[in-house]
Amino acid sequence: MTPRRIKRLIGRGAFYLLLLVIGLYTVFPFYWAVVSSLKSGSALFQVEFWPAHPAWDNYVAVFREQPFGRNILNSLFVAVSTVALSLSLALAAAYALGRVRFRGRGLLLAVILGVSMFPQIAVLSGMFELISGLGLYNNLLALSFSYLIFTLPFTVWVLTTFMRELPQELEEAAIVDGATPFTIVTRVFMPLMGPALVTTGLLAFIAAWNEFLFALTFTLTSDMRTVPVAIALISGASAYELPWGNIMAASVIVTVPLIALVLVFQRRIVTGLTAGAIKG
Amino acid sequence: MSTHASRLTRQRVRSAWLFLAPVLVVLALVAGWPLLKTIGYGFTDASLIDPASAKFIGLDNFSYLLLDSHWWAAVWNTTVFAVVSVALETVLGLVIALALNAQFPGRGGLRAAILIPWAIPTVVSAQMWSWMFNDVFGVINHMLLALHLISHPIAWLASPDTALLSIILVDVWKTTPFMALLLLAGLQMLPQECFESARVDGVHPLKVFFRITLPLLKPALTVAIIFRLLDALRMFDLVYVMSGNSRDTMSMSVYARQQLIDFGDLGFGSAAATMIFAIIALFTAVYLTVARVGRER
Amino acid sequence: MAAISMHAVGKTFGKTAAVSNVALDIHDGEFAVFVGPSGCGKSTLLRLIAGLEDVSSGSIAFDGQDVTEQAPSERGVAMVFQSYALYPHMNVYDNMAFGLKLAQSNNTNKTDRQGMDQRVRETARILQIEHLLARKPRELSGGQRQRVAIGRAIVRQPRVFLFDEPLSNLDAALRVQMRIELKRLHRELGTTMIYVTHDQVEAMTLADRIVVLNEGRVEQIGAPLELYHHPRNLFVAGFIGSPKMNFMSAIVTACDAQQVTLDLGIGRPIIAAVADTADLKTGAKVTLGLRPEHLTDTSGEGQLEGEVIALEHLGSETYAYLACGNGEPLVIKSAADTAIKVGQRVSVAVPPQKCYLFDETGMALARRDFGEWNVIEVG
Repeated sequence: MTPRRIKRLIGRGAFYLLLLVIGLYTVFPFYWAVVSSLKSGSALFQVEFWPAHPAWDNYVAVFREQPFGRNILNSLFVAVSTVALSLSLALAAAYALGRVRFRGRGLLLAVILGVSMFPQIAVLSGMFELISGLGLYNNLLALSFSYLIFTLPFTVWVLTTFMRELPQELEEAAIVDGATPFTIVTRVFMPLMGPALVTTGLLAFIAAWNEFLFALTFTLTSDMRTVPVAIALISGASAYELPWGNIMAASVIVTVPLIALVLVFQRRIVTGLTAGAIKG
Repeated sequence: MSTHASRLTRQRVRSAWLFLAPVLVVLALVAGWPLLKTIGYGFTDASLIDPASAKFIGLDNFSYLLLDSHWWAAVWNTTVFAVVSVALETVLGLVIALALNAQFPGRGGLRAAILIPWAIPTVVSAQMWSWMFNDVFGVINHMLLALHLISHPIAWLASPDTALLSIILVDVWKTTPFMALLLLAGLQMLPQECFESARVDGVHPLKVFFRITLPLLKPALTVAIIFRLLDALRMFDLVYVMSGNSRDTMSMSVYARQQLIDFGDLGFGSAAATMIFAIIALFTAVYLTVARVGRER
Repeated sequence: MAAISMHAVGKTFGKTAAVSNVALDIHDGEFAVFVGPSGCGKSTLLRLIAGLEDVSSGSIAFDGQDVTEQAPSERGVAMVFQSYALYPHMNVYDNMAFGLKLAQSNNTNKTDRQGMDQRVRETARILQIEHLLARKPRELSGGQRQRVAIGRAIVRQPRVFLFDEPLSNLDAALRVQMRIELKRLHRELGTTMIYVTHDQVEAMTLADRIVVLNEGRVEQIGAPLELYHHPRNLFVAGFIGSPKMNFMSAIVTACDAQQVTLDLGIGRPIIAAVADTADLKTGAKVTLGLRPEHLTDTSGEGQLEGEVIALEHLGSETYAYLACGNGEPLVIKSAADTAIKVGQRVSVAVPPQKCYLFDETGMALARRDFGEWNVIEVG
């Protein structure tokens, strides 16, 4: 072998080592959570990279010791209703912003982008009062409503960029056919926006599913909590006796569906993320 | 110039406003009004239990805030957190993006794998890492001890020296993929001819990176960094779940929430929240300017 | 069916004028073609007629009724787009029926529905796309999509058909076929049609009347042969005809009532027939226009002579490029089996009645009519 060839082989090896490290770094923590969740009793406190006696005890305990099933349903309800609300509102708005020329359009886009930068803490007290005023404290509707502050600007923004890319002649054909703007949105564009709606909806779903601050502040009782709050507040007898097995089991339960979604829609998510960020 | 707006144009503009109205109303309700309320409360002595009996007290809350060492500690923590984590994320994200930009078997799989940390709820990441950082049973101490890198277990989250560092490491783990994907998208939009001609000329890869890739990637990089900085400045979940209201790691958002909800001091907490909003608004203005400059180019 | 008249129509985008001060009458049932180089404003003009763009000034009327502010559907226009613009998620039937369904959504009685169904099927039959009705646009070939797009327009029984470069995405053979079919459709339907193209051959073959546009202005309106024989100016003369007309600058050395003698600075004096020499004086600078198809190599003594620098064999004929003088090469048409070779010197005879003369401002001097073309009075 020539020295040049050896040098190249070493370079190649280093590159694959780098890939391996990246892979391990990103996947190991979750793997560790899965392994830990399958260890029951004292096995949890031994460092073993493969559970010798996998057991489902922790999973059973999570559902027994708190209304975790209820928490999952809460999260589902909040995330789905938030996504449905944002998509239906945003689709119409995206048509207006993406396809109609009118004065003030640029300013509106800037305002909507600006709202997406709002720190949640800045609206917390005002929102708290609004929600109490509406009688929605400790009510899931409070979350569906308040989550619109971050899902709505994002969905409007991304759908607008997608809406702009639809061919102009298609819209003009519909106009010549006598379609009103409402008809154009519902019967011509919406069927074509399927992929965009899935992408945007998925990203909004993940954001709503993961939200913590509002969920922590606007709910009180454990049967109104969403999953992140429930997991954050799982506690044992004292700070030093946290039921780590249960926490890991709960973490795995709520993460596996998300990871499945992400893996299935990988390409679309990347498109959506970059449409939201770079084109902005 | 007098354009005769036809019925079609008028109908379209009217519909546009009609279509926008629900979004604008909702945004006014969930963002505009609460923000104004928060700012308003910042000038009163309102309490959470009885907001109605609030009295206007001028700038008292703000002057008290500026004298509170805990607030300044929170500002410091947030700044350190934002700067260090975004810097690490940028470097690591760039490395991962460059690696993923190359051709190799299993590339799609690795790209999917790095999405996992991004998809995991922040609260879950916080718990997972808290367990790994556990001083007695944590896998991190175990591995470091086995490799003889440390002589005795470290109380990562309990010790003031390492708590913020630990939180930063978790944030880096969670958000580096996002950075990497943004940068990868940026890399893939770069004109390939530059790299091909550089390769034909036999330019050293490192030189190619610093002379060609980095300058071309700068707009995407700037946008991504500011985007992440804005996110880091309002950070709440990680800190709250990993170390609660501990003074050593408290971020600005945690500080404001503690005043607001735990202490029930609606007026003072709102003043702190208003300060955070002002800081982030400033950064947003910078971001919008940068984005606009980037688009015009 | 409708006659269309445009009065002082202008359209500006920001500061650039796409269309300026266009006055135009299109007769009821006429096949009018807008032609011109890209960016000449022909598509904008069509979109103004469609109502897809608002006029910046002036007015448009259909059958004497002002439609300037009406929406496309109120005007009763149908349009065929360059990209076809078929709704990708609807099958062919629904694509064609969409406009009718929208028009009928107010009254949903059964007879209307049956009428609609009949109309769609009848149109599909005329266009021979009955077997495609259940297919989606992505399952169709380019030519089939084109037919569906035309069918979608026909089904609505519009007052005016508008075509925006509808054949430019088709291959050459299909283009010829569709041209013939469009002509047949026009004959059968008798509806006013306006057709935009940058291809002068398409314009010549399809049009009853051609509107030549350049830089947002109308250069000339007339029947195809009128434009060919009596172009109003240099632009029209150069645009209509293929290959392009040869232009040479010349000086008038003598003129009498019916003809002028020209000095080109090369070759022998050329005699050109004109209708009227009143405006011409000896010594005037003019431009001589000669169509390649009117020039042939001659064994005798022609007025022009040049060396052959290139030959284009098209099968049915041959075009020869001659270097004569310092200007652009002179193009002449020769027989398919011509014996001339590159490098050879060729002599060209210039028939006086085939000359086109333009004055210094580029306007044409009236040509004599030799019975090859009967002048029709144009509105």
